[in-house]
Parts: sequence; C-alpha cells; structure tokens
Amino acid sequence: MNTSLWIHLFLFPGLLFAVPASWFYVWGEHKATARIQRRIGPPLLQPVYDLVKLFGKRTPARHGIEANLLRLWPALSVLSMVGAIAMLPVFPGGPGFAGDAVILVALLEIPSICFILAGFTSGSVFAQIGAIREAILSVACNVVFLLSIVTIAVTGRTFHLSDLANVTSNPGHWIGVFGILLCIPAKLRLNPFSTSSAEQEIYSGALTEYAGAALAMWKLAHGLEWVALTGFVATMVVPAGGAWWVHAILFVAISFAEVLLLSAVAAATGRLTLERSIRFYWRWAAILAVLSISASVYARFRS
Amino acid sequence: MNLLQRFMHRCRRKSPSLFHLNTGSCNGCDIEMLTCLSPRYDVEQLGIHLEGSPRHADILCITGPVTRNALEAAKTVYSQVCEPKAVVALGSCAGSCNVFAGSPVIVGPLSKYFSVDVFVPGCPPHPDAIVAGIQRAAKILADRGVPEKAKGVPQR
Amino acid sequence: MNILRLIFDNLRRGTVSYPMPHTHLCTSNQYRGLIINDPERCVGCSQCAYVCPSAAIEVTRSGDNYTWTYNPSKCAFCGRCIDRCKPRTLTMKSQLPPLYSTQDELKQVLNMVRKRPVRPAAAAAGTAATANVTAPIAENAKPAEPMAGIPRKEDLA
Repeated sequence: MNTSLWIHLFLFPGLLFAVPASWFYVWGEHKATARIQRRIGPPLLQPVYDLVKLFGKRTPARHGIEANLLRLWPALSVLSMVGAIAMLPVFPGGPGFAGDAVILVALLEIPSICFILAGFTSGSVFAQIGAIREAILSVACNVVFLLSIVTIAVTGRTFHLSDLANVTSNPGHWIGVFGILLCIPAKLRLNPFSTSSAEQEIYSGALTEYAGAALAMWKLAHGLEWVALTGFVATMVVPAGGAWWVHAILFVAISFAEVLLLSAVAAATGRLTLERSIRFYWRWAAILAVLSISASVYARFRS
Repeated sequence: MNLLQRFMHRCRRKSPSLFHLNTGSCNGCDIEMLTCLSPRYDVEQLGIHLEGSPRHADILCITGPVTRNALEAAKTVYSQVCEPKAVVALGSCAGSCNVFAGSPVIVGPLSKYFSVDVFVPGCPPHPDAIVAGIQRAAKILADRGVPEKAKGVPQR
Repeated sequence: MNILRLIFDNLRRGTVSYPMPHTHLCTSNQYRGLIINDPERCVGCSQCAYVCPSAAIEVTRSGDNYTWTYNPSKCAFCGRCIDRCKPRTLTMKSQLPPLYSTQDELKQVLNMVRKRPVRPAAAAAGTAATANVTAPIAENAKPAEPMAGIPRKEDLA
C-alpha cells in the first residue's frame, strides 16, 4: 500500500500529472472560448508564463491584514485538490486508494470554503461581496452535488469509489453523473454561474487583495479544481474492464472533452444574477431529490 | 543572466497583465483599448489580458488628462501595482493634455506625477499602436526585473 | 438551437483575427495621421497655429526667419490646419505617430525664411513669371516700410 500510495499521490494521478494537466486544461478552456468567438487564443504555454510571472512579483507589506492567514487559504486549497485528485479511482480494482466518496466530496468542498474565507479576511469591500455571493451560490449548488452523489451511491449500493467507478449500467448512475455535470460550472465559477468572480464587475471578487505568490497559488488551485472535477466525472463514465493504460488514456480524453464542453457552454451563455442562479439550483435540487429518493426506494424493494 | 533569470524574463515578457485606469478621458482611447481585445485584433494571442484588480496587474494603462479629482485615485492605484511594473500613457491626453491644456480642472499630463515608460500618441491611438506600446512596456518591465549585476548578457 | 448553429458556424469559418505580431499596419488611405509641412512651399502665414485647438503647431518669428514647430504628441488629428492652409502646403500622411518614451521627444522643428511675393514691376521687367511667383529674399535685406501715419516699433519708447 505504501509504494502505490506514493505513486498515486505524486505521480499519476497525483502531483506530477495534475499540475501539467491543470495547465493543459486551462489552456484548452481559453483556446476553445477563443475559437468559438473566432479569435486565435493564447499559446500553449500561456498558463505557465502567467504562473511563473506571478511568483516573481514583489508584494509590499500591508497593514491591517494578517498576511499569513491570507496565505493559508490558497495553500489549503492546493493541498486538498491534490489529495482529491490522488484519490480518484482511475484504475478501479487495481492498486491505489480504497477511498470513500464522502472523503472525496469533503476534499472537493475545501477550495470553495477557502475562497469564502479569503474574501472575508481580505479587509476589502469588493472581496466581501465576492465571498458573500460565493457562499450563497455554494449552498444551493452543494445540495444538488450531494444529492447526485447520493443517487450514484444508492444505485450502486456502495460508497466505495472503486466500486462506483465500475457501475455504468444503471440509469440512476447516469442521472447522478448529469447532476454532477450541472454543478461543475458553479464550482468552477464559469458562465452562466460566474457571479461570484464576476470579472471587472466587483474588481476580481474575493481575490482582489491577493498579489504575487499567493495569487499564483489561487490560480494553481483553480486549475487543479478543473482536473479534479472533470476527472471525477470521467472516472464515473469510463467503462469497466480493459488494460490500465486504456483507463488512463480514456480518463484524460474524457476529462478534456468535458473541458471543451464546459467552455462551449460558458462561451455561449451570459452571466446569471445570484437570484437566478440559486433559483436554477434549487429547482434541480428538488427534481434530483425526488429522483434519488425514488431510486433508492425502488432499489431497496427490488432486491 | 542564468537560466532561471532568463526564464523569468521570458515569462514577464510573454504574460503582461493590464489594469486600465481612466483619469477623465473622453473614452475614445478606452474604446480603442477594448477593441484590442475584440476578435479583430485579439491581443490574447500575445498573452495580454485585462485584470480586475491593480494588485493582479503589471502594466498600468492610463488614459485621460489627469483631472483634479482623479489625481489621488491614480496615485493610490499606482501604489497598489506590485513591482516590477510599467506605466503606459495611452492617447495624446495622457501624454500632453491635448486640447485640455490650461484648463483649471486639469492638473497636468501624467509625466508630472508618474514616471511613464511608454507614451502612445494618437487621438485615439490605433489599436496596433496600443499593442506595440504594451509590448514595449512588457519588455521594459522584464528588463527592470533583472538584477543589476546580471545585466549585460543579451537575451532573446 | 440557434446558438449551436452559431458555434458550429464559427468553428467552421475560422478566425478573423490578424495574427500578431504583424508588420504591415492596417490603415486605409484616408487615415488621419501625421502632418507634413513642405519647407519649399510654406509661406509662414501661421494660420495653422492660429486655428490649431491643442497648440500642437507653433510658429515663432524673428524678423523674416520663422520657426514652425509641430508636436505630434499634442496633435488631435482634426485636420483644421490643413483646411485653413491657403497655399495647400500642409498634408496629412496616413501614418501612425510613433511611440516615444520621453516627453516632447517627437517635436519637429523647421526653421524657414519668409518668402515674399515678387513685385509686379520687377516681374514684368525681368522674368516671365506670373505675379504669384515667390522668391526668397536676401539675408541682409531691410524690412518693408510701414504704412504712413503708423509709428514703427523702433520709434516707440
């Protein structure tokens, strides 16, 4: 368990895969958005340049803000995302974590909480507004997210990730996957649910007071969120059976296809206001609640 | 320069992030600057993007002759941009107050209060000139970030 | 479904952007660019300086020598000077003003000598030129006599 743990944590799908994959997915998002708008878009290494440039900024000391506390939030986000990616069941049944869906969901939730706390500890009005919007939106979105996970787990009769990754024949499973896909734009702050990091509308939202290396860590955390969320859906979708390298290639391919799909949706839609966003999510939460409860009742009494 | 400094120089040149500040312009220069982001000119292919907060940006693009009310705000924003930074004076109002020179509410061109690196003349400047100005400012900014004793080696 | 068709059409039709960096500038023939003055034809009437709204053109005189200064960094490219210029000397080049790094780096200064029109008697006697021909006057020539009754500047205290 030890060697496979370190391989999963640091090699694939851990740190050494996740960070370059995050750069690739972020580039894919910008390039797809640009091509849909008939523009050329950034070069392939652009996320690398942005990140490295931010590490080279010299940030001045500021009064009234606890600088170490501000640095804690992006660090926590990056660490939890690396842990979540390492836990993904890319090779179900093979060596790796015998992980639980509950822990994965908890790890996936941490960056959102850190974003909210970063906004509140920044000491800026714009940061507060961004944090408030993110807090309200994440409550509505997480209800849908958790109900989808429950639907998948109930129809698969287990919470273990490796077993869930193998189950692909139930309709309940696909309803759950669709529900997770609905939540991803809100978690990644993409259009149409980008109200919490509305560019220029609230001056960069919760991250307004961040600069330099801390901001670079936030951008890295955002990229890793892309990898984790799209990877989670990819592992639920990839069919069982086959060699380990087929699983790995399908994992990356399906994740990137999801990146392109989400970018197309983001390019095609405008930003919804906070009220409309939460109304959308509570409506879907109600539908999914009915579906998941009836699926669990049906599954209980069918066996 | 050693390899790390050369890499940092390249990254700074290839990823200039702008913050746009309007100190009382007629918005002609601002519209031309936004035209650069539009599909026809698309400066994102050079890595240039607008940031929402001055703390996130390297290059401060200032338009407009500096009005009395905007002066303090401009100084505050200038102090919030982190080093290394560059200032671009966009348009002829920012360079020399154009037709508004001598007005009682205009406190003078930008070069009176800030050390401007690149002036982009024009009323309004052509988007090609704006892009060339931003690229020159990115090069100045990257050169500024190299420590003194490492200079003297020609970089790409 | 219109949005799907739009996305598909956009991906099929390709990009409309100019690939950067490009060397040729996309300006039309009528682009309002830098002002060009022809030292051979300029007569020094300084109407362009009078009518310029941003004082980008300045004309200073001392005797018959005058200095025509043009500062592109102050110019608003409105074209009033060209409209006003009677000898049609000023023209507008469809070229962008260049970037600069120090204040007043772009100022152009032209030192010229005022040309006077040749008097009709001399023209009829000597050359076959028309009354519009202007000839540069000699270096040490005396300035013209003022009209009777108006004191000259040198006579005033």
